[in-house]
Amino acid sequence: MKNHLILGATSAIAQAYCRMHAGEDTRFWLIGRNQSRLDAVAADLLTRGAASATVRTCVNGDYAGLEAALGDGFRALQAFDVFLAAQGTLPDHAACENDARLTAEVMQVNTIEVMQAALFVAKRFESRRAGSCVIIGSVAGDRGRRSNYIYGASKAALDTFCEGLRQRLLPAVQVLLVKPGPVDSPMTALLAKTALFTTPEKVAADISAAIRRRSATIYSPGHWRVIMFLIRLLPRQIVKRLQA
Amino acid sequence: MSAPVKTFYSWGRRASSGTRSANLAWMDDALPAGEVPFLPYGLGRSYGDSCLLDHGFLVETRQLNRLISFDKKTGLLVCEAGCSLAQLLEFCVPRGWFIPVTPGTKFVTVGGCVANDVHGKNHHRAGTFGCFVRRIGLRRSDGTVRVCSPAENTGLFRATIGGLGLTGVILWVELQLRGIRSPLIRQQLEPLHGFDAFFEVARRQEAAFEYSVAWLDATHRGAPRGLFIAGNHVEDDGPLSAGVHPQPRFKIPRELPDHMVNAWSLRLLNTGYYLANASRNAQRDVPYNGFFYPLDAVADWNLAYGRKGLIQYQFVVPLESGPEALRETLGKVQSARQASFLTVVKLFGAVESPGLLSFPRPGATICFDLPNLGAATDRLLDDLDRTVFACKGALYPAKDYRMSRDAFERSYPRHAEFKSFIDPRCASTFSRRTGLTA
Ligand SMILES: Cc1cc2nc3c(=O)[nH]c(=O)nc-3n(C[C@H](O)[C@H](O)[C@H](O)COP(=O)(O)OP(=O)(O)OC[C@H]3O[C@@H](n4cnc5c(N)ncnc54)[C@H](O)[C@@H]3O)c2cc1C
Ligand SMILES: NC(=O)c1ccc[n+]([C@@H]2O[C@H](COP(=O)([O-])OP(=O)(O)OC[C@H]3O[C@@H](n4cnc5c(N)ncnc54)[C@H](OP(=O)(O)O)[C@@H]3O)[C@@H](O)[C@H]2O)c1
Repeated sequence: MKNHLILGATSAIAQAYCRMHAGEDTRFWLIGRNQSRLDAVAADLLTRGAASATVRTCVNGDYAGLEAALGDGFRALQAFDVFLAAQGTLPDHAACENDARLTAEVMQVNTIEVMQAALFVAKRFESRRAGSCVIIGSVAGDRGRRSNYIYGASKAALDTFCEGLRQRLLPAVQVLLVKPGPVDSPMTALLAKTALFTTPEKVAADISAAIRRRSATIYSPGHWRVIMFLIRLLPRQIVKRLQA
Repeated sequence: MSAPVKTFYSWGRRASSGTRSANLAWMDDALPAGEVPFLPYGLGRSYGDSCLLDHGFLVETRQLNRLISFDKKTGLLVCEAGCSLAQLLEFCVPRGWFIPVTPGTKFVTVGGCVANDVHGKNHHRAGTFGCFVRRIGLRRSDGTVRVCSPAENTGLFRATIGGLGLTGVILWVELQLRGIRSPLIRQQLEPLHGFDAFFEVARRQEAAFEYSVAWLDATHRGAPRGLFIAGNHVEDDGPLSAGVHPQPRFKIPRELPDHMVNAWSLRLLNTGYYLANASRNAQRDVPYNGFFYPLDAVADWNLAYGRKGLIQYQFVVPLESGPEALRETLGKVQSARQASFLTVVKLFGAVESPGLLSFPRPGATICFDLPNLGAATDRLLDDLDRTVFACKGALYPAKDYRMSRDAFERSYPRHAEFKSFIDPRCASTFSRRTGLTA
């Protein structure tokens, strides 16, 4: 049996990942905030042959609720092979600049809850000396951009977090940070789809391969590693002047 | 954030103007509020403008792509309407099931297949896609979801199959799949010479093959030549998976310069294709993917036609007019010095199409595809219309960007009955031109 624990199970990337793995010997524990969407995801995975798919909801900022949803999973299925944190929100940046509450919500969803869940899971992976902790960051976390630095900051924090958590958990437990480029998902529904966009299926396939290879950080698609490397080489003096 | 204006394309590279996008990734996602009209948009594989709507919302459905239930004993599948046939094939082929009717690409959604009541190489036996649709969940702009079937909301069911997206948003479809024992197709090729061969060989071979189509080398002068391509599912039990779901191997990265695809290059392609296959008279077992979807090997191949895109022209005429219509239309295409790569002839069978506006009807269907040369192409197509309507034929909306209201009403005698089922919020560029909606 392979057991998967997903936070933000309604995310397009998470769904694509789960579908790839839905077979007779897999069980899913799906956490999110929307019951009917989670039910639709569970029905899809069960139709594809998953042995079980259980749904738990919790609301933003309710840490006890999140802990209960995670804890129920460990009690029901004993252990998980993979934890995937896919929850995330891409906010209206201009609105965030003018309303600190919106900025706080972005940090809550993208960063705080992801860290809380990862720390909860880490303890259990640590004591069993096995497991893969997979967190979805973003290329947007690699460098601040005028048009989305608040989202970028929420993702950059995950980078530092993963670095430290990895030191704590290696070698028995994998900590994988996934940095996708733009993905065609509900999050980007309003954006025009340029050639830079990839599919949730591609990111899911890259995640699966990275789990097998026990990688630490991946970009998806892989060419973003080169692009972001070059962008990070740009001196801060020049970046300061860029407007995009 | 309100939706910005976004350009949508159809497969023939027609562009929308002043269109906003609305995403429908979940069955209960809101439809665009207000009075502005909307139209569902699947994967945009319609060639003309029936999947476009200027100054309205296109409701994108490709993320509405979950399975809902599957009965592995009976092959009855319920899935959300944005599932692509490619996604369904990955699921059902390893389980011994196949899509009952498939068009020539798998990158289409189930909703799109219903809305155009698409046909495939097995029409002479199976009828249309709609013949295998058992139930539909239809979202109307009044907020209701109507379950439509031959037993329930019958009128709306018959209007939604082939309904061009105008009856509301299809949320889910219950579809009867076809059992298979192998992912292979036993393919048979036979060279064809002369007009009559295209009809005679098909009639003679029909009983022996579940799938058949005739391809014609439209660039060849003199008596036409072509290939009869037929096949059956291999009946021996074999492994059902094993490398049968390849992704496209090549991709056209962007629009190529105009006129790359021209009379010369098409002649080369046609001749090459003919010569490569005409000698292979034998039977061969081939993966289903290459048999049904040869074009899918190159992603975004339509971009090769450049900025002006390409045009498909497909019509159906009564069987007895088939050879005559082919002779005349091919003659007109050739004397206009226009070339076509995908010239295809297929006999439709007698199975009745369930939709009020379904295109397939007993007879012969012929399809040309042409690079868009602007006014010259328009003149040619007007001329082809004369042949089609003289033969009491009909044009296919999935391929169309130009048919007049008159041409539409002649092609679809039940248009008035259909109109009573149109959702008051729905419209398309096509429906406005043909008088289906304001
Ligand atoms: C290479 C190629 C080969 C083809 N071969 C064939 C063939 O052999 N036979 C054939 O019949 N056709 C063929 N076609 C045409 C194609 O099958 C149809 O145009 C099909 O409808 C496209 O599906 P789509 O998901 O891309 O829909 P779109 O093109 O995006 O939309 C088509 C119509 O469906 C409606 N629609 C889409 N989703 C929904 C929904 N959820 N609810 C309600 N309405 C909806 C739209 O409003 C529109 O009217 C071919 C096309 C290509 C590109
Ligand atoms: N799409 C991209 O271009 C892109 C690029 C780089 C990184 N990423 C990251 O990839 C991850 C998955 O995103 P996706 O592309 O799959 O997008 P998606 O389909 O829109 O998924 C977003 C997920 O986050 C959840 N979520 C959003 N706001 C929330 C909130 N306030 N509280 C709790 N949950 C919330 C959503 O739940 P509901 O379904 O209930 O809304 C959904 O599960 C995210 O972390 C995202 O930041 C995405």
